[in-house]
Amino acid sequence: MNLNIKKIFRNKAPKSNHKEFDLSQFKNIENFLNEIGGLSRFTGNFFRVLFRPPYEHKELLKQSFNIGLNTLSLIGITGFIMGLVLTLQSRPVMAEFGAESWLPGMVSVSIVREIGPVITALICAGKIGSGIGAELGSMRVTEQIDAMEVSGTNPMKYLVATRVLATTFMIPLLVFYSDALSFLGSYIAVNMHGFISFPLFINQAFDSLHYFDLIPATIKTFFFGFAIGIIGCYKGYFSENGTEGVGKAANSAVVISSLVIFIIDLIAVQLSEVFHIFTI
Amino acid sequence: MHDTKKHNIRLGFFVAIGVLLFILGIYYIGSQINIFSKNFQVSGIFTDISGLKVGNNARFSGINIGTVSKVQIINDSLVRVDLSIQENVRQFIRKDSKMEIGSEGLMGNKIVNIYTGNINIDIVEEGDTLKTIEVVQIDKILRQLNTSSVNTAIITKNVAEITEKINRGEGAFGKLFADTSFSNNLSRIGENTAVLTNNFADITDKISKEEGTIGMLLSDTVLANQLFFTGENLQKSTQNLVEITEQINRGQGLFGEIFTDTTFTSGLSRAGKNLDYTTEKAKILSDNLVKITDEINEGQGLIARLIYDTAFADSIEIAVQNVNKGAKEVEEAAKVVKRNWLIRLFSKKEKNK
Repeated sequence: MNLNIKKIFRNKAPKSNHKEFDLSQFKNIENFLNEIGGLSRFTGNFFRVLFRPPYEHKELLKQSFNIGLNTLSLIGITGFIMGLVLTLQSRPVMAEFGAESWLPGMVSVSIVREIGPVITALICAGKIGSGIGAELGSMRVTEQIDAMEVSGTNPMKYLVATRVLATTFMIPLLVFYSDALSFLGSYIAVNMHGFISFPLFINQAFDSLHYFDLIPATIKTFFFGFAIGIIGCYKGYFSENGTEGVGKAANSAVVISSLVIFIIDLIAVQLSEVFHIFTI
Repeated sequence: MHDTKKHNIRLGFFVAIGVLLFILGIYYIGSQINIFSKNFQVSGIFTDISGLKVGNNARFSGINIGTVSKVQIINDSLVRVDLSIQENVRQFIRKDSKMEIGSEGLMGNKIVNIYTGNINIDIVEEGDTLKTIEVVQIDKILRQLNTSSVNTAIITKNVAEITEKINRGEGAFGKLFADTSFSNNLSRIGENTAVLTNNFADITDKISKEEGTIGMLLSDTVLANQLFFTGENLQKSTQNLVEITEQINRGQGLFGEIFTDTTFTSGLSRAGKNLDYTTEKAKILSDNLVKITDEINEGQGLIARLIYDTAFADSIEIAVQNVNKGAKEVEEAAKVVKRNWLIRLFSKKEKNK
């Protein structure tokens, strides 16, 4: 028996003064899913072109220089202040418990496991992610990418792969620098209210650290770098509507990168807990 | 082109330093847990490891020398703990060394302390099992604390009851606190003590002023010398007494014979018997005397008449006077005879004169 459901609903359903259900409310979800799908396809394309020659060494080095070295000063200052402030803020509480000698250990664990990677990644998302989004977006709206395709240069290989690789490998290095300078800041902060020799500080700091602190934290920074690069490239590569689109691309690159950094961090914490269990 | 090379060099420097930092971190953490040093394994068997985990430090004389490499349950009551110890410390650990699970302060991680053994015992070898000292469990301490607190509660309750009784004036202590006479006595004791201390102060004052015997004792050297000599004399006296007693003990002298000579004592015994006899006779004598005096009192006999009969006494007195008178006359007659020339003629003595 065939039932005409539309007819039944049209005839039997009571009339209401309310507006009809607007399917456009699903537009955001549709856009979200569309973005995820597009990003996934973009990531797939990245991996497809990544291992195919020719390899763009020069561009990779150039991007590494721009992303790594040009961000070092910002990351260095931020990391130094981070260690200093964290120690100064933690010291009164630790002193209350008579555990000031644990400051180096506590600060080192905090910095290496969480604060160093996440803060560095967020700063890079702001500086590098927006830069990549804006650069590629402007190239898209000025049809430079189209021109590259026409001229036979694969923009995915030349523009995207190099930038994503550069962020993937430079951000962990920046995190190391940031951690080291945070330690320096922490050492100075500890010495503001007392005296501790640098070797003793380093001993206490590393005494509290273990491989299950350093290794998962380092691994996740590669994912942070990859996320910043790929999202920045994706948003810039598919930007539309002229200069306004460039701004939106840069902005959304930063927002989405930051969000993804926290999501990756959440997953990394869970996985590192599992890793920690396996080490026992 | 030149800029690119310059950039590449700077990038290489940046990457090299970053990687170096990472490697240093890896190495430093590894050195803390003895990954990069040559190690050997020893183990210990515990009944309770109190949360000891793989990676916890092992210490010898307070120095970190290794880490816990494995924790394994052997059976339902024993746990085996394997330690990875630095090879260069092996020479200090003996086969009779002992392991104990401790902690780094109140809130610190668990650690394994290794105590040194007998120097004459062999050095520990790879895979040896060391003796263990069982951990003092906090649960047990808490249990004991709980018992102590219960006892404390009972004690405080009893003390409260006692103080209540005292407040109510029950029992000896209650009376002590409630009875006003006690406080009066106390105040009197206090007053007396004050007087006593005053007196004592006066005495000490006099002594300090060299007044009185004690003051003199403390200040006067003559008295002190006299006392010294007195002491010496006393000493000599006691010495003599000692000698005397020794002589007595040896049976020398009268007292010695008394205490030691059996013949003397038998003589004494006889003397005692004679004394008994004498006293018996004396008693008879005294009885007789009593009888005689009774008779005298009753006026019987010559002596009674002498004492009680006044006429008889007067006649005796007259008789005595007459006798005295007669004796005088005889004496005068003798003197007259003596002065007679005829008698003097025949007396040589008179002639010689």
